[in-house]
Amino acid sequence: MKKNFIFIFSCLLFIFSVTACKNNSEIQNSNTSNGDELTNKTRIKKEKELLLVSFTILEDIVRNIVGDEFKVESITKPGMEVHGYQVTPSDLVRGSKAIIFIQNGFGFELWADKFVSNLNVEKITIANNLEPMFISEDIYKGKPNPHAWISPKRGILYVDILLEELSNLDPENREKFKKNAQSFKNKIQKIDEDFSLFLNTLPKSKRYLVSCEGAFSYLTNDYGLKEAYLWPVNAESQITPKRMAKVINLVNEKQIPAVFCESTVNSESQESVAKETGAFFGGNLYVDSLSKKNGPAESYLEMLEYNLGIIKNGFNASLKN
Amino acid sequence: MKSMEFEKYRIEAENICVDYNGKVALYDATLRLKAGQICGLVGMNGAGKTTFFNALTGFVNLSKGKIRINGETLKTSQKDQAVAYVPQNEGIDADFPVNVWDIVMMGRYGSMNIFRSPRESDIQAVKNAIERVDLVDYSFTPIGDLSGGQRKRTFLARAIAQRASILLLDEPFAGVDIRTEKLISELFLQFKNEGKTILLSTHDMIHVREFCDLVLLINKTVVAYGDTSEVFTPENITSTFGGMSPDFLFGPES
Amino acid sequence: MDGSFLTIDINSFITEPIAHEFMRKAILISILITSVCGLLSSFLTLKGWALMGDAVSHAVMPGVVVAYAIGVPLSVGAFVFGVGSVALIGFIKHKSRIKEDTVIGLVFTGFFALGIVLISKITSDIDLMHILYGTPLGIPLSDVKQTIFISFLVVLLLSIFRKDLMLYCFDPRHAKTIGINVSFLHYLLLTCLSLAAVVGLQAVGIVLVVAMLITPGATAYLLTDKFDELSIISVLSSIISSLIGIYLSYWLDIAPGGSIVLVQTFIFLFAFLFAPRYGIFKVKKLLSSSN
Repeated sequence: MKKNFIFIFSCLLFIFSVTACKNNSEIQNSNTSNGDELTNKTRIKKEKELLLVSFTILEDIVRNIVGDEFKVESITKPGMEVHGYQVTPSDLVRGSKAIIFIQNGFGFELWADKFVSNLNVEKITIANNLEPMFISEDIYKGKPNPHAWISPKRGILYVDILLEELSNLDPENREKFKKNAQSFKNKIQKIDEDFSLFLNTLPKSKRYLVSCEGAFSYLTNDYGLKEAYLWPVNAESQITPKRMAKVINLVNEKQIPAVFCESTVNSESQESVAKETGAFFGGNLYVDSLSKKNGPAESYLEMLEYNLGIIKNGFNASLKN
Repeated sequence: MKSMEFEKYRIEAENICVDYNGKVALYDATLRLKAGQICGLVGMNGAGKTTFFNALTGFVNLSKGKIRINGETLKTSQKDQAVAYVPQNEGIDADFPVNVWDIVMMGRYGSMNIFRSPRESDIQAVKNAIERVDLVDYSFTPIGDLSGGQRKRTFLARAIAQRASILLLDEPFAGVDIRTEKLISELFLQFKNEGKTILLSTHDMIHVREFCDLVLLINKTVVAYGDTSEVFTPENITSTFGGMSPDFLFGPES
Repeated sequence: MDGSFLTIDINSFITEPIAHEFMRKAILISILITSVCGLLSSFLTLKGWALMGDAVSHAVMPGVVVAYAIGVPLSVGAFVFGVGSVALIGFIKHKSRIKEDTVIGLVFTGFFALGIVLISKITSDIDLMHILYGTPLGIPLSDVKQTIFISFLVVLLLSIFRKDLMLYCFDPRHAKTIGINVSFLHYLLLTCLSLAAVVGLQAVGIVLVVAMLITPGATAYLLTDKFDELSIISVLSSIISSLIGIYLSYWLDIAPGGSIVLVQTFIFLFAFLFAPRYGIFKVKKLLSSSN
């Protein structure tokens, strides 16, 4: 009797977890089948070719340039960790159908080289045409910091680089791409100008961006901010008390009004910093991935607006207090 | 009154069967023992001696058959602390951080409160038990530092402290010194007079002749059972030990 | 003059880290977590359940992921899967001829793999892989409350049943013979193990939590022949490891979870070498004196 109970209990556990997994994939399946319907309609006109992109932010930028001339898909899904992603067989299937693979580079996609080496596909690497900033600490010291897209100014460079590459890929549509890119760049520029204006209202001594990861080097560099963080890259190299103490001392010393964290990591350490220094905890910024559907950062533009909005709010709220 | 007490069956095991995952370890075994009887349990390794003990202590479930202890079910007898088990020396973790006192006190756990905090009567019972096995000087010695004989006496003391009416002893004479052997045989006589019932397994045929009123020969089931003088014959022993010559088993003695 | 300089130095060595609130919090929570694990460790060492500790701590991984996905406290999911894995181990062992260590290895790697698969399938905002490596520096307040509650529960259970559990570890047959419910004690110990794994993984993560469940007990086992002392030494060495470990992590700028476990290992090595009765140098001394 008791044994049977244990057995049934274990079975339930297993089924429960497997179905938890299944539900998820069903949702995704229904998503893609909707997508298939759409493409079926257009397929009558022309079989669309696939551009495979490494992560969701880049996917959005590429889609804004090519419009509906190509099918654009990202390997990693919204909200997913990108650095340490493990490639699945279905990624390889998609990879074999794609006409090109687009990645950020600067060591951001640790898995990409292996992935591409298995496929016979051309690749575009943004980093090849981008001036890197280097990580100054830790085991990654001296390696380029990959998170260039977080700065709107660099986002514009991304668009330029991609426009060039994609036009070479499909010269027929050069003009169309150019038009798309221009309007997209205008939107980014608007965000860029807004943010610059806002920063000018801040006293120079308070222009610090304190975050969990050192992912904002490009943003801080481009906008005359100073950068401080709890750990340099990714939480794989764990946070240490010394680093926390250093940030706390800096926040106290410079009277930095607000601190922030990233959406993909545990923000508790940064909240401790806020609590101990009396600084305002501004919230979580998006870095490596767009948010899931109905989240605050479904597209690149939304992500920039959201991030910069969080930063503005952080400073505003704390300055009011 | 006393004679009535001695007439009652202490152990009644009827047609008991035990299997482990379908492997039969013991089948159709029957045993009845009265108060004051000492019974030897004899059989090869793997013949089901330990399984028999396990069944009587409730450590394994019966697949068939029935066990009554002092006329009650196993559950009641456990509650009454009726059965005490004295393990083989090999079955004890000698590195375990307990001393003689701790182990003997374990005999009292069954009658203590949930925290197992000893009352004055428990402490007295433990003291007496340790005195009876002549280990007073070793009361607080860790079991790892005891000799084989001393360890055996420690567990006997636990059975005494428990005040059990039935004692199950697994190889009580294996690996003990002369002094312990003598002390154990004296205790057996005392137990007998107190009306306790003893079931002991042994490989040593001499001990069976010396102490046991009854003998139970088993080889997965009962081969023979009865008074030692009637049952403990070379023929029965040979069939118990799967055809091995009793001369070999008895050694130089016969 | 040198002396006064030294005192100032030592003072700041001790006081500078605890001037920070997050350090005080980290020290307190680590001491709580490691002492609970240390107390349990004394039982696991005696029961020979080191591998079981390893199994349970790994098996909670899918529980954490599922709990995250359906939005219940992570500790609930971890607990359910921890106990579930143990029940499954017991069931397979009972119903097949496979040896226990094989079954344990089989079940916990299976659960762990399930955890990894779930992580790759459930898209979440938090990178769940990080539960492999915890840190006492960033435990959310809600988790702190949970941790305190679970810790007290485990300590309470272990205190009430400590003698029964000791008897169960030492001589389960005698326990059964005198009418003690042995399977209750079995599952009680397993429940405590799952709960301790749940609180422990917050401080040092899944990979290292098993060290906190094994090392202190093993250290104490080399130092004493008394059960009470075993528990006390086990808890004390856990507390000391937490303190030293966190201080070291501050001054050497290293990850605190790993640092605590490393200190525990060093304390064990010290006991292994120099324990009065069971250290290896003691053995040599005895040999040379008898020659």
